[in-house]
Amino acid sequence: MNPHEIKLILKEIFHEIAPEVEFNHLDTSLPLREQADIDSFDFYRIIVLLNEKTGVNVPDSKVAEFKNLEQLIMYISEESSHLEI
Amino acid sequence: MKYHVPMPSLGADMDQGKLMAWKIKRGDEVKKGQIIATVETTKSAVEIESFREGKVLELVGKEGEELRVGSTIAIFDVRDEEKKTREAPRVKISPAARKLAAQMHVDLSTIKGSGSDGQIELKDLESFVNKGVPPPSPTSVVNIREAIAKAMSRSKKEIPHYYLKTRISLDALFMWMDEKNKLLPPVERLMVPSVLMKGIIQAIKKYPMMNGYYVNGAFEAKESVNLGVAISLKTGGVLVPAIMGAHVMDLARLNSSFTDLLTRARKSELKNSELTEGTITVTNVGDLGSHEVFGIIFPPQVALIGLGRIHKAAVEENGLIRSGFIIDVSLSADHRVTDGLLGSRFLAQIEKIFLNPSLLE
Repeated sequence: MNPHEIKLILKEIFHEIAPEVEFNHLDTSLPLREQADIDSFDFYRIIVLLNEKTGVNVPDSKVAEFKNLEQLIMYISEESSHLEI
Repeated sequence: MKYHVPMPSLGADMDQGKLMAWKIKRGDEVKKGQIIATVETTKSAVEIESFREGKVLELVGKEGEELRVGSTIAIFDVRDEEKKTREAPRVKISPAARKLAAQMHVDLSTIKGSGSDGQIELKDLESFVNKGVPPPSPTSVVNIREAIAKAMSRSKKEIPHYYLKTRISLDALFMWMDEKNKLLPPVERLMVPSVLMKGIIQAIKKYPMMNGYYVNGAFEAKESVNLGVAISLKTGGVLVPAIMGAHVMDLARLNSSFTDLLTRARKSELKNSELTEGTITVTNVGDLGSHEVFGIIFPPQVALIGLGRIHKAAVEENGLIRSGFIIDVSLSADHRVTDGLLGSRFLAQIEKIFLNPSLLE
């Protein structure tokens, strides 16, 4: 999956979990929590739904290291390519 | 007999509540513990359970109505319940105690009498009632800030706190979790706080002096671990509902109970028992919080565990320094019940479990 496809999936997930957030207005290179009222439970649910929709399981050690959505998107993109093979 | 169901008090300083919705209707047979209504306070809605069993004769309170604490919201016919009580073996009780028991609607079968032949005396009942009265909850009250101030001031005034902290490496636990979560369906993914809480509950089982109430000058250990969890609401304020009976849950069930509790806290669907019957509390500052947290004990509980933000730091291992995930786990405990030595052993037990996560199974 390319980053653009993953971004579209994330947009759907945000619509479900935090409908008040204007996903298109988020700057994915900046820390998410500084731009939107997303707490750690919301983020857990985002990771769960991403796993359901992309098949990629993000380990907690990785989750703790992501600084922004861009890093998460790149990780999913890279891991999903391994799955496809 | 008619039983007038009162508007319950859901914490310190709550003098009225708004009846949001009835969950029962006229003619329904209501069981003990059944949810009968939702009551709204300023910060949250709470589901109200019935303490009696009977048939609904009348719903006095109207949905949307503000009602004073203690005023009648509904009338039940509790004839069947009384019949059952009459059929039960007769309880030996002094007249003064019987009068108070009737006023307080106390189930006498749950009280142990200290008089001759096990007769229940007034002092037994008073002690029982004092224990059973929910502690002033810092949550779900009309003025949440004022209530927190009152409960915490009381705690700091009455409880001689001592504080301990230990730093624990989480690398082994993360590796163990990553392996588990790889195999689980996404919807059953384990949350880090659930796993940490599971370890804490196991340590509590080994150190029961941390779990219970300090009332009437004595500590009363509780067999059941109702694990209070501090939850920050997006609308402001903090709720501390408990995962009831957490000591009998395996990790999967604890995880689903925790996510269920978080979901219901947000939807204002907590039960009053969950808000008032915690036996020990965990406060978790989350991934944006401070590195350390030293909480204030919720009376009449005697201990509170603080989980700081998980972060990377230098970890020493076999004489070498490496980068690793760590957490600072703190204990605030009541010096009338335990001391620093026992507290340290309790934290060491938590550390042992976090470093050897296979012990969680």
